[in-house]
Amino acid sequence: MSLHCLSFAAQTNNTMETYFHLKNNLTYRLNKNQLGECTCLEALRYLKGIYTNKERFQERYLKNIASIPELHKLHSYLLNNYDSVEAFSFKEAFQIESLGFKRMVFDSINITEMINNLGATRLQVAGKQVTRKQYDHFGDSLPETNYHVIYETYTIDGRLLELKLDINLFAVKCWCTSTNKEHWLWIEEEYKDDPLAAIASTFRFHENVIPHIKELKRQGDIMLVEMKTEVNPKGKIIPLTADQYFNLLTAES
Amino acid sequence: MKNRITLEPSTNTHTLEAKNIEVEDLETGILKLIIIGEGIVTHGEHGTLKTESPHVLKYVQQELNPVTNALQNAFD
Repeated sequence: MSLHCLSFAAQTNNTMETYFHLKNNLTYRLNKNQLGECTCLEALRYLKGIYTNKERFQERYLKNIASIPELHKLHSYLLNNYDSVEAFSFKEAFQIESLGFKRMVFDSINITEMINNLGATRLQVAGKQVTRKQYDHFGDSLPETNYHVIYETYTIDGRLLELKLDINLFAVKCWCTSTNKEHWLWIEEEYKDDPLAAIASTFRFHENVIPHIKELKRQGDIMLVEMKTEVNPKGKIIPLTADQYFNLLTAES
Repeated sequence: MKNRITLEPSTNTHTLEAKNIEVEDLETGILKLIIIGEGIVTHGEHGTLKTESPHVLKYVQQELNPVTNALQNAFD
């Protein structure tokens, strides 16, 4: 059984109930075909906000429950209805009564949608001149390119979420070099005054990997870490520093 | 050994092609790769990349969700 699907039995009202702890804080109550505080439909809408395309949902979520006979019914429901449901919108998330489930759903709301609704105050701007390798569509090398990258940090008033969490939220804004689209990423408070450190912190590697990196190549949300030698990643996963990120990154698209 | 793998499943999948590729799935989106020959990485929206080392690790960008304090993959 997957580590993400631990089951346990409990006696309530003289009836033995079986529960499965699933990923993303959902507990499946087998006898009632319910997922924690929500219905299967609500759970699927919440999960669709996290796993925004079906391929990732199958790979990262459904694969964990596919081989467990007791979860076949749930698996079929989630798989067959994924395309027809919509993720919770920001406004719908506000109307959820259960505080626990509301917090979970806010966890799944697209950050851009959240910032568009809540507003954000810019804290810092930082830029850097970079040199990057380039390749044509077939992977053949093109002349290197130089350009200026800009990152901005923002704060968002977390009290506006009405989650009884007296917190400020922090984000870094960047622009994709291929599409020029704007992207927002949540960051920790310690990076709020340093946009370059903030963007570097969004890439986190195993501690024993970092000293052996030859170069980094980034394609959207994935990082290819080219190593000087073979390393088996182990130990703590730690964020890159701004120096590590900008000195090792040789290509981004 | 394979010569074409999916690095990250998505609507615009990140795909790696090379003469030969050994893959070890380390879970949570992390892959350990041994790539024989040049590795060509394509995607429907982002530009093409080429790997130049036989030993490559693939990680996914991360962000710490401020509501739950959970570290999560930051997908574009």
